[in-house]
Amino acid sequence: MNVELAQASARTETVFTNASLVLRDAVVAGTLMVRDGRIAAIDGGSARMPAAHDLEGALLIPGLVDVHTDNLERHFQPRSGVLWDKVAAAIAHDGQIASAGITTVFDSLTIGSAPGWDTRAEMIAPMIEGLEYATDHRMLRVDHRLHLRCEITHVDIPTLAEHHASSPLTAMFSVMDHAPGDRQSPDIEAYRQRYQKNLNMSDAEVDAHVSTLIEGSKRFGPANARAIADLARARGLPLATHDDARIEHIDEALNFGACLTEFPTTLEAATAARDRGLPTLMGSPNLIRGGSHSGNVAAVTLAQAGLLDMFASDYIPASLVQGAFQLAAGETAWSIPRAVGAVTAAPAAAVGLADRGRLEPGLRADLVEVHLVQGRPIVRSVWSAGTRVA
Amino acid sequence: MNDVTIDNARIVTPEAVIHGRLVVTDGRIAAIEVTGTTTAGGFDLEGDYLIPGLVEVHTDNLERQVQPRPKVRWPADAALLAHDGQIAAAGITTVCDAICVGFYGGKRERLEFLELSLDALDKGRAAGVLKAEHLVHLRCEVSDPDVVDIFADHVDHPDLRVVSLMDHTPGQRQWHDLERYRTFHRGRSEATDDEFEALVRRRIDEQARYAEAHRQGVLDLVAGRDVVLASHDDTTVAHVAQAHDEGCRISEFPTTTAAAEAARAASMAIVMGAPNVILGGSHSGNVSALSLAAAGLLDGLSSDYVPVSMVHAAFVIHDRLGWSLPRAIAPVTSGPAAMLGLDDRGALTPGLRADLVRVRHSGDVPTVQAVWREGRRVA
Repeated sequence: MNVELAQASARTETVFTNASLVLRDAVVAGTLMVRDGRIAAIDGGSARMPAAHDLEGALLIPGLVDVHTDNLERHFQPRSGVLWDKVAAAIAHDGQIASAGITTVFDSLTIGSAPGWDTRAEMIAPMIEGLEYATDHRMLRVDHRLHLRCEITHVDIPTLAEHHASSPLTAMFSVMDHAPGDRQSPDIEAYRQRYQKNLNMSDAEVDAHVSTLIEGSKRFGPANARAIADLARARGLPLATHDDARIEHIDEALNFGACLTEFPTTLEAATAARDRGLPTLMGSPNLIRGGSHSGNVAAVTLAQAGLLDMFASDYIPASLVQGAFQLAAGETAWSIPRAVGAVTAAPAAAVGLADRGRLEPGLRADLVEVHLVQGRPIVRSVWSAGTRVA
Repeated sequence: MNDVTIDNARIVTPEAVIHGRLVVTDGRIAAIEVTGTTTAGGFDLEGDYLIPGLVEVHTDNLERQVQPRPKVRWPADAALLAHDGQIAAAGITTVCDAICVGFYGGKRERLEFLELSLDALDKGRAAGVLKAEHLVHLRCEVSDPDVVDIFADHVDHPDLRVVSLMDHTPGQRQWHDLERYRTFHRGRSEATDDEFEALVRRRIDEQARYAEAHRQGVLDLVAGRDVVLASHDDTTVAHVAQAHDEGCRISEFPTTTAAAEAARAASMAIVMGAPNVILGGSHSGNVSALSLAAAGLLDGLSSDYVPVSMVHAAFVIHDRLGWSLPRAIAPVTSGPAAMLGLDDRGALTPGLRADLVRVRHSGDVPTVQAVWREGRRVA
């Protein structure tokens, strides 16, 4: 081999040795070799090459796959009334995501939102533009895609979804129905009070809001949900349902061709999903906090009942790795491969990403070096397709 | 350990931008050489900039992680790790975490936040898990009834580096425009108009009763200690004169050109928020940081509530005001390092700490590509 070629291959080859490799079924002490951004080889020995990256026994896990986070919005609107530069917001969000060990992220944006909900309609387009610009200019550390959360109570949602789906980043849809009286907010009066208090609204304004949602759900919901499902199918993109509460919701999800149920609100719905083979996702903040902020079924309850397949970070990126190791350590006592699988292999498989989520030769070299310090996972280093990004 | 050779970099030294190599030995900068060659085993920067690790005197980002959503409290130790990860990803290698003392608005959880944060910082440091070096900045709200007692409990904290004197009473300083205060406040709370009016009255009353005595109480506790005093939101020449007499060496976020000029005349360092540079003005309607920079009235930029705004602001100043890079990065590196009395960092000079940031500036916004703290890669 000539000198130039040797240098070129040295540049694209990285060896991680003395690692505790978290494989699908076991944690194995060994060496992992990366070439050209892919995992080239894994073996149980240790490498004596001087250039090898010695992990000193630390865990090496696959890069996390987060199919639902609202975190971009927190950077686009860092303070009430302050809208940030759209490209800088994407970069800031990306840095936080990478530092949390997430190498594939579906940035979830709510379209068709009602007044007072987190994401305002006029924020959607700039957030997508910022992500597109940063992606096109190779400014981002990890792989970003768009997850369009479609509120089916909104009359125009099929048109809005179609419009935003023209972004090349669009990679996933979900259908949501936030009408109180069902799903996330079964108690209409409790929803009313929460909404009114948060927005400092008059009774008449709240009445109008609640009846718009309930009306919208009845009049447009079924057809809108079907339209979004058809859009997803036509584009060959994964679809999720949201806040499923009853067996009928799960049957409907299967009927739509959904690949997962996000944040089921009852044990009944999660059980039905398991019986019918529909994977279940919960938010890792729910796991860390020990319950849902809206009072529905706790993630840990589903985990203990064996009804939980995967997590998403929801709104706290660092909670994903923390949640996984909490399941490995707590009463649930999941094995480390199983717990890590819930934030890597399981979400990757659910949304059809066959090239990542596991430490196996041929897959993307998305890797996270994790140190367990007093049982707490510390993300020390992160590689995306073989490049160190955090 | 912590030896690294960085090649093919545009190295921003205090005097110039040099294309070449920077060698790190034992976590310190050993040499800077002009050269076109690369080294076997070296880290190729592919022509990107190499600047010193940023030094941050005031960030509220930790508090944002502890309370990620209204009514959601996150465990402080986990919040600290998330904060630290964001800080390192933003190229900040030395950070003063600003923690409120007082001004809790009756919300006891903010007092709890002070104690939990300091406890998490102590443990994180002891466990060696933090990427950036964290120091403590206690923001003392002088109109608070209990500020002196609370501050007294923490004045001996070994990592305390900055103490700032604040007075956020509406109708003056940052909030001289009550309407803006109302808008800001409404975004963060559920108060009705009547509750808001009552709050404003209570704040003004508390200021009259406590501000003067408590300002002196904080000063008495600080006297003789090796900490840096800062005054906050100076608006008038009188504010600056008082701060200078009290021993303040930094004027943080002066709200008017007159106050900044007075600070300059008194040899106080002037710090503005980097978000102000990015947004093209202050979110509370006060003087623009870019205009102060253009007038030569800027020594430091703080990220305030957006960590990535520091590196971004330095490049905005470079692009918009035509400052050379050595000059444009000073307010986020050597400027704050000097204010904090940290003479071992803040510049790419042999002998100093190898706190290094690789920055690419190809699109509209600079991106941090890699970060080393004392020669160890942290982001």
